[in-house]
Amino acid sequence: MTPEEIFNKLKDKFGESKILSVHNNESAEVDICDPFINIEPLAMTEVAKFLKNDSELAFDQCCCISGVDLGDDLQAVYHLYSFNQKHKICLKATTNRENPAIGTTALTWGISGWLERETYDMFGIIFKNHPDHRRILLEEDWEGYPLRKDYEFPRYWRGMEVTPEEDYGTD
Amino acid sequence: MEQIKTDLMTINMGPQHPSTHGVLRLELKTDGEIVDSCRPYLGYLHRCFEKHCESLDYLKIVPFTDRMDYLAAMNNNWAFALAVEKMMGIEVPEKCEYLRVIVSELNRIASHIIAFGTFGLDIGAFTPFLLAFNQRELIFDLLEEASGARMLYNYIWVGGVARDVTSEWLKKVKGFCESYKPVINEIDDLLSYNKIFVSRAANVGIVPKDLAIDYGFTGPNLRGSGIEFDLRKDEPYSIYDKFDFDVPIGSGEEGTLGDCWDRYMCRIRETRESIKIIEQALEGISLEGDIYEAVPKNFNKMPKGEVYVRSETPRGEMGIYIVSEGGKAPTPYRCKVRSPAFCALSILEKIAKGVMISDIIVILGSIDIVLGEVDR
Amino acid sequence: MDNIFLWIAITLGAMVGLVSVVGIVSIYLERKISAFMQDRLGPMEVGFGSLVNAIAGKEVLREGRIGLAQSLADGLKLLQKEDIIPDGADKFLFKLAPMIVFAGTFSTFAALPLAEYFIPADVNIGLFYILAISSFGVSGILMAGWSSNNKWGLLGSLRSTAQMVSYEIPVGVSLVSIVMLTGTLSMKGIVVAQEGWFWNWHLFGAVGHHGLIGFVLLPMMVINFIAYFIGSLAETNRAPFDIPEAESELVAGYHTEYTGMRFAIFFLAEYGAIFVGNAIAVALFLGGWYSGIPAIDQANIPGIAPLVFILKTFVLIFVVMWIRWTLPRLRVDQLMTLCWKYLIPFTLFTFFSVAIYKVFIV
Repeated sequence: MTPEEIFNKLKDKFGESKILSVHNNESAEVDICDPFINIEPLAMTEVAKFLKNDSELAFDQCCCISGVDLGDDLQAVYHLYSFNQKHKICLKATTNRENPAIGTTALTWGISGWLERETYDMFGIIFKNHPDHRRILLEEDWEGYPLRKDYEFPRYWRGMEVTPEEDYGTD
Repeated sequence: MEQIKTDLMTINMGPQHPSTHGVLRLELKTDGEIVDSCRPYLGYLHRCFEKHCESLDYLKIVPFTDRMDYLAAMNNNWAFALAVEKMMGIEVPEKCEYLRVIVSELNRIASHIIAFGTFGLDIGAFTPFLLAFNQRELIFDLLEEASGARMLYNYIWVGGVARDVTSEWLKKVKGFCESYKPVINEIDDLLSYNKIFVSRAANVGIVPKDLAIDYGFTGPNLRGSGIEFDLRKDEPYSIYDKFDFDVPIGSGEEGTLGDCWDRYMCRIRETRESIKIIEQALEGISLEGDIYEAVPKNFNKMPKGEVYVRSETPRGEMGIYIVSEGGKAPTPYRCKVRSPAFCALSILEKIAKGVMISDIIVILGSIDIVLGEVDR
Repeated sequence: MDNIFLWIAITLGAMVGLVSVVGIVSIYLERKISAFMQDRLGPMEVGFGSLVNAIAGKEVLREGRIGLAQSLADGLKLLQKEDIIPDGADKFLFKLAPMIVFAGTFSTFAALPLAEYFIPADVNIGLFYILAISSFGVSGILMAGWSSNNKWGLLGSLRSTAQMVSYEIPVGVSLVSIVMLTGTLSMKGIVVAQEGWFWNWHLFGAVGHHGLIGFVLLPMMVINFIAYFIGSLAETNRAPFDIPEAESELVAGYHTEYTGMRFAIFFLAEYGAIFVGNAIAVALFLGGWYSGIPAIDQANIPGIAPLVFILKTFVLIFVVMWIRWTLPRLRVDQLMTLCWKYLIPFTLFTFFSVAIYKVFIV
């Protein structure tokens, strides 16, 4: 199915308030991008469930979840693939920076559990109803979310010097 | 039986343990020898690859990709180069494409040698590991001659390759292909169909098809579960559509479909296919032409936008997601790596319940993780 | 009285020497044999000359070409290493464990029939004594694992105990058949019963006892021999039954926490146990010190008898090493299956066959 068809199917099911828009190179006003669909962040859980279970869509694998810091907003980008239908789609859920929350997809795809944990670890996006919402790559008591653009490297961590003095504050 | 169940014992397997293939820590809760739950703790090798990328020139990121999956550095280089090339719309000269195929497939064999060698080692077979390592040394010699380094090559650049090769080198590669074939048969005799080995690996760590897809299995792991899917075949990138090769899949011939033995055997058979590809590439390659022709001098022409490119590394599907601001910004705005080993490792929590401690080792060996790539 | 103490001291000294030499030679052989099987060279640098120079503090020249003194040098190195006892360990048991393991192996050497007049102690229950003492070592292993206060060590020693207790049965039963045939438990008596041509060996049935009719026991004895050999592999924790110290699973099993000389003692005891296990096989099944050709035995060449015995033992040890570097390791449950479902029924079958043969046929 083409991205437009997927978008229409989703819109018929969930309505315009949850399925926001579909984009390709022209409409997204960039030079190059894969077609993607914008989703209302808290609707992600039910959308994911539908995407997987609908026989025409049948997105059975979640390839990748990437967080992106857009400045004012944080975004989670989902790349999905269907082994059954051999088609793929990209979903984007944009949430605000102060209170970032996206519905989890971990109950739909097994792999999402870890990918969302990684996104939380690096961007601090909270995935609502995630069964095991912990940090994954960093220490559990690490402060801050390193891949946010405004992240400042700590000078010390647990009394250990992690950034030498001459490098501190110079990014 | 429930009444006599004793308290669970917590065992820390790793980060310094001979069989966790690096610095992985597994928290095992066991009832005697039976594992009740297994919880992986990652991050001991986290080197902030993605953060580093945001302050590096595209060409300078390539050596960093070497350090992710250090057993298959060529394939990582290539995955990243593919993403940037797609972004910039670079046409790579055909000679470079052939060279990339040859070195990547050589590296794939070297990586699979580690995978099945250490898998045998985990089960206690030491000799096949060393016999296979002889061949790995030969590959390293070849790659060293081509790139100047033994493991971390920085060879496949955006738009081309780093160094040219000679016709003697191609002859040596041909010689290697000949010497490798009998060795893999020997490994089959010594290990693959060994009764003890089969009884240890078959019917252990069974991952059925739907679970494999659900938990993000890709590459040999996915094919071990009986799904015929190979990005080189199904979404051919570069010049893979020119080559004739098979995609070996697991069939459950010694046990159940999707067990450790199937995954192991997929890798063994895949190395044979790689040899086939290399031999065809050696016939097709012509050494005329400039390898630096398409290498961009700078990245000023980087468009604004994003790409997600998948390519087949020995561990599975490596996805590179690059967001670029375009214009004069010389560095990626965001570079995310979808690591196949990271995804495959996530299944451990799911299938660990009820197996024995020895089986945890076998399962871990069969999904072939590289901690450098898991933690990045 | 003085003479007795002197005699004991000399015997003990000789036995310690024998155990050490056997250990060192086996370790060297193991390293060389495994190297050749794996397309490597193994130890190549340390010869006796360079070892002497190193100890004397002189310049070390690379004159050793086949690494003959490698195990000696390793032993010296281990002697100098720091002896670490973990903080949470039960210190008394931790120190006691290697001694018990070593004593278990060491004492069995006392009843090994190296030659007709070369048995440190030819007790009339020799075989029983060896079996009893060698299983004594398992308590040392249990102690080592438990006292280390290390979970891997504990798991290793538990596996080891379960394994040794189980495999004692097929080993014992397979040897009982021989005892029934010969009617003696004395090691010397059992070997003497196999005098003459090699077909008198117990491996080929009971020809030495009852003439040609003894050949009917050939299949039984071959089964017995194989069962004993597998059982002794398991008792000495050798691959493919090395699960108690499976380095890929349990780090190093029961001796995970041991360092320096204590570790070396475990190592030495292990190789000593392999020697004893195979020496029993030689004595009981392969004619002991008899070369199998009467002319050689009767020629009265001095020292030929112990030489033949040790040579036969080392041939078996070579097989043990060959197996180790070829086969992968079994899992715990598979190990138990092999013992209880295959070895024990087979050895019981041969046991009853020999009994029937003894009662009804001869």
